[in-house]
Amino acid sequence: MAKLSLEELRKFRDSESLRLRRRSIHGRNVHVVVCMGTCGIAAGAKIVLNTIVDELEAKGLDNVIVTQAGCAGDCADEPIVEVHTPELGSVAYGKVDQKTAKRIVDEHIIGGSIVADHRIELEV
Amino acid sequence: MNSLEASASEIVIACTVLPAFVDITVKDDGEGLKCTDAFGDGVSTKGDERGMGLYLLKMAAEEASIGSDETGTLLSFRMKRENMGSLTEVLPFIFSFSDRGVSVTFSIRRGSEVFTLDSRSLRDELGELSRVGAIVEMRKRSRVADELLKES
Repeated sequence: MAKLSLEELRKFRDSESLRLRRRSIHGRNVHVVVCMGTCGIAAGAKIVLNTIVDELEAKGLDNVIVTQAGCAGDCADEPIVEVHTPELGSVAYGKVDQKTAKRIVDEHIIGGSIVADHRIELEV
Repeated sequence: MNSLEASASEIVIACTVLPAFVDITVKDDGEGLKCTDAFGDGVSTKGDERGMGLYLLKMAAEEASIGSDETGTLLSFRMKRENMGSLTEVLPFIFSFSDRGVSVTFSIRRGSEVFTLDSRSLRDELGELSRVGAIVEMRKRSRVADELLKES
């Protein structure tokens, strides 16, 4: 068996780690909720919603659930996106634009890290 | 969303494309309106600083009416064709509501051409309609509806 260099091993580890994480996402419930009340739509939530779907599709994450909700009662932070994953629980993001939506998919859903600069707390 | 919050189990959306306008009706079998001026600015049963949706709809529409009886609520409105947005962008998400136990039917008619989507058969075929895979497939199917909206 040919020996692999350290660099090749690292690349293999990273690609396998991503593949395993995607399998984990496919097999478990990841749910993204975009607030689509009037204030959210006025702030651009429709574009955010479609961007999230586009990004998830591009990454092959066909089994993630994406739904709409009404106004969250925090209009100043719209567009608002909530992400529910088994690992991180429920995390809400505010002032989400297309760039932030892509970061949420890459960093939070795939990478498992909260996008801290957009995190908000929603009143229950 | 209003239909879901009124505990509807069925939502029927019908569009009729006319030369200059589109007539749209949304009928549900929910509990009915719980306010007297649903189109009023800031009128809402859901709390303060809400109640803009139907108000803005009436502002954008040529005509709009809403009423409830023992069978549910009927919203009717007429839009100029040039003011209609893309159905491809909204229909998949309307149909994703069917995962909450409500059946959704959509039809659009232009002359003798009719296109219909029904959540029961879609769920049989695609599974949960709020899955990204199903949303993407719904977008493709909804393009037929947008074709019927285009200027002839």
